[in-house]
Amino acid sequence: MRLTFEKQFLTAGHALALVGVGALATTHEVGAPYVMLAFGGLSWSLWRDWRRSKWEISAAAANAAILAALVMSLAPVALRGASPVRAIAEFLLVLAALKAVAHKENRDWLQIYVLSFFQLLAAAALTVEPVFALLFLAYLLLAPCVLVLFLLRREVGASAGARRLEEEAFVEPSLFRSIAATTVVLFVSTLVIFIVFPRVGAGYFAAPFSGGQPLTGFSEEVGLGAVAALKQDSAVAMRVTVDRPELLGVDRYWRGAALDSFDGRNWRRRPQEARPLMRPEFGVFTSTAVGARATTVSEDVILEPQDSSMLFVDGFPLEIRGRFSEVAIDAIGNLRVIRPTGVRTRYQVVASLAPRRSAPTPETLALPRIDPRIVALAQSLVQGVDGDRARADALLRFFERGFSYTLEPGDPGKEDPLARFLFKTRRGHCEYFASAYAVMLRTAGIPSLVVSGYAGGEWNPYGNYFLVRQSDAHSWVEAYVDGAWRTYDPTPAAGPMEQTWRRRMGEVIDALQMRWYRYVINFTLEDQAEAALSVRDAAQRFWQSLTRDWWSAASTDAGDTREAPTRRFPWRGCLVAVMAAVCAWLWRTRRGAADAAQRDASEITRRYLRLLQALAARGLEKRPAETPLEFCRRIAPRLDGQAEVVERVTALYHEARFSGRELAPRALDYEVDAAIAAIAAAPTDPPAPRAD
Amino acid sequence: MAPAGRLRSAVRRRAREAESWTEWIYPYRSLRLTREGWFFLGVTIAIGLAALNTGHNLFYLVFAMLVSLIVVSGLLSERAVRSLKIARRLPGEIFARAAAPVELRITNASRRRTSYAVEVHDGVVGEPRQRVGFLDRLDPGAERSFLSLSTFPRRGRHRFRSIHLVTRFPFGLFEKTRMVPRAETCVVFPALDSAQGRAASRGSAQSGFRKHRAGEEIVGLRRKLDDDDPRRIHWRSSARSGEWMVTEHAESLERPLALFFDSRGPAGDAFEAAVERCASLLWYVNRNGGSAKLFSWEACFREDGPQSLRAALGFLAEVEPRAADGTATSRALDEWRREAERCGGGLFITARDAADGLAGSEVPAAMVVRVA
Repeated sequence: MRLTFEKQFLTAGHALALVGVGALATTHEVGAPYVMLAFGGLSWSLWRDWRRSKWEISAAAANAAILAALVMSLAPVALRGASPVRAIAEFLLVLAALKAVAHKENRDWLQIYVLSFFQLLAAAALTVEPVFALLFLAYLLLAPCVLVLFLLRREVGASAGARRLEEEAFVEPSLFRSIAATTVVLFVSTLVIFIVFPRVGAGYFAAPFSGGQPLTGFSEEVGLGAVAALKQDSAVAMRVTVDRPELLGVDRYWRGAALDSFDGRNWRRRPQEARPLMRPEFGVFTSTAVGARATTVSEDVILEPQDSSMLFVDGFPLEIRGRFSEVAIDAIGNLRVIRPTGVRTRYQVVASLAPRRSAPTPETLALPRIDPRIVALAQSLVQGVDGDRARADALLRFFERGFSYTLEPGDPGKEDPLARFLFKTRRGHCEYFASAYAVMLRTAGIPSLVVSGYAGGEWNPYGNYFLVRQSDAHSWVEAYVDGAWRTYDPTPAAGPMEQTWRRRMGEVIDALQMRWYRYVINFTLEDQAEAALSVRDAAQRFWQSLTRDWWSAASTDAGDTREAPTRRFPWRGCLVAVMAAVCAWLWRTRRGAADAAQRDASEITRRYLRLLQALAARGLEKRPAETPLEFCRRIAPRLDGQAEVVERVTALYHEARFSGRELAPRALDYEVDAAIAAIAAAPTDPPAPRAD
Repeated sequence: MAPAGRLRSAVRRRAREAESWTEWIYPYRSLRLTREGWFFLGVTIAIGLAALNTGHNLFYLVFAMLVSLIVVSGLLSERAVRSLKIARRLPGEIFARAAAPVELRITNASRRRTSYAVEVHDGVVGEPRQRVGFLDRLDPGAERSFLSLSTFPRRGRHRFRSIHLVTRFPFGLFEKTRMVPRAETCVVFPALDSAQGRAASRGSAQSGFRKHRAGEEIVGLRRKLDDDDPRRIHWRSSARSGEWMVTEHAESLERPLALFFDSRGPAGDAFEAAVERCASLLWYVNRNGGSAKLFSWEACFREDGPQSLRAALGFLAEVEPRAADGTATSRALDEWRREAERCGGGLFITARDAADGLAGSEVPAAMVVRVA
């Protein structure tokens, strides 16, 4: 059943309005009542318009409601300093609902479309989530359709053919196909303009755009259990792309904060001077350390919004790039960064995976008052073991048997938590393991730090990056052994995760999200330059492969004994196919023109023959050897007022027969026929004496 | 004319006809922003500036979408008008100060594309274009005709302007105009004065009736033929039947008449009135079944038939006053006098005060018609 034009128009218009409302709803920044009001109003309006019901609110009531909504939206901004963008977004929703239920003329529909657009724009300002992409695509699909239908309704409706809009499906399916093709073109051109339009950087009113609710991050003081709380949250913490992921190996530790002071229950970072990194240019921070190429990796990190300003790096940072005001590093390798919190952050790090060789500070050996059993245990484990490395290994082996992992070790109460863990429960989470190990290392005279950050992460094969979740939060130990700080992890490893279809689906979706964040939300000037260079390189490679292909094919034909390259992309075949398609198209259009020319030639030839017959009847016969123009000139003196007509028909005949061009329509108009008829009807003249 | 001279005259002609400087530069297409288009452009620019200011990539995305809509709008509007072919059909005779039906026939030459919402504008050089029709939908291969009435204030050669196809399709942001260069020239015959013509022609005419295609008394309706006067169209029966129907008149037989038009004298109202009197006589006598032939200092139209009549009227359409040099060739007068004797009647139509300067010839006063 084909819908009438009016129903097509109503459906498309309401769909567009609903997309705008949906875009705002998915930001989670506007109140649910506003969203419900807008959805309800639009849905009811669609039902009412389809049924052609006359129920609607009066213009006066609508205007009063709009005014009231405006006051209610702006009041929180004025009185409580609420976000003006949110207030505007909520007002737009109320406005959409009121416009929907009021009487609608063409002007009102235009206002609804404008409202929908501004809702989309407000959503773009309030969110960066990938779901916006879906709604944006929906808008891109609907907007051309709606605008076309609106134009036809306005212009055809104003003409005499308005009745047709009511009675039949005025718009042919071919138009919708054209609009669909238009949407594809729109999408491609949108992408191209998005990529090409220069990113000149933030201006006077730049503001960081949040990526959602900030995650609870790590702090500079970690109590036993703080990291465990994070481990129950599966939210994504960051996504890391590494140029050489194989160097990271299975054990990946994204270092956040190193803590050197323990009071028996809490680890904290003792305040110390941090050395600012050099800043050769804006957004680039380098350290004086140099790393060997073999152990250096580049990490591109997209960090989800967190409530701390910590950065996470696997290895020791040699260079950091990001929108930071200042980056400093202290003696135990902690990075201090001045950056806005609560926003999604992207930064690149060139890091060295080689152990850090900075000298230990006295705090890394300091111990509080601890249970003497811990001291005795540690000393007994390292007794007779020479060398720091061997002693560290010996202490590490202690945790391999008899201990188990749990996120709920129970409340130690007034008991020493570490003693309780080591001697009573032998169950705990990573903080217990790391704390106990670090304390035992210090007891054995080995400087140690407890480091909090993220460990592991999942490899996403669809996006080629590591996905690190909050549940990957971890604590481990760095010990100064053999002149370098080395990583030790006493916590028992978790088993491998099962690959289910749900998990794979999740990886695919996350890969798409990653691409959204990376290539849309965080698309920068550098990315544009890179894209331009890629296009240039691809064009050069294509050209070279073409010429190389031709050369190799030619040399093979000439009997060259060198082996022709195999498995080459058939560029030559593609080029030939494209050229053939172009030639076919040209032939088709020229043939169409030739057909038209031939049709014209047939018409005018018939007319010319009739003219010759009419003239012959008057005794004016064309000689076989005479050309049409010569004949015309010869008989002109005997035609009086008809000479012009004969001349014109002859000229047209000449042009149609011999020029091959399509004649202008007036060339075949009725006057020619009338003139020929007049000649035929004229009295017969006596035959003229032959000149030869 | 030398090529440079032809080029100069073409440029001057285009400058005269162009309605705007854009049309003068490129006379085939023009583009104008509608009111909604201005708003759209303003919003696009504002969002572009916001994107540049904030660096927010989603603003860039929205901006890119808006720019794409503008680009696609231009492409689609071109497709809407490009495949339309237009032919202008003019009536066989066009008289000054009389509405002449001009038919515009539009064909969609595309095999697949339907054209929507296209306005057709036409006009004559020196007059503003008028909207003559609106194509709400023209399917592939379909044809539509529009009839417009054009009134020419003066006789002579007139050129039609290029036909404008105007569309705001697809999005209503731009108004695209395709200028189709159909600059046809038509010859507008002098205005007819039916009362003067009938009064002048009625003399010792015999009465009688013969059913013919012109006359005074309506004897019936029939289908229109190609060379029928469009002013005979009977609109009501045409609307009812869906075909052009004309009235059929009885005819009163009239004696042949030889007319001589004296083109000497100054230009002015009197000259024009003389031209119109002559044309009226020619037209009405011939249309009423009689035979009127035209003679003048410059040309003679001795043949009978519609073609000769048109040629004579065409001459009158373009005749210019010539200097009264005191001497005039008597040959033209002699031919006229011979014809007048043969026909049994002749008239010498002049705008001058006295038919003097006719050395060696006499024009009987009874045959002179002076038009003041």
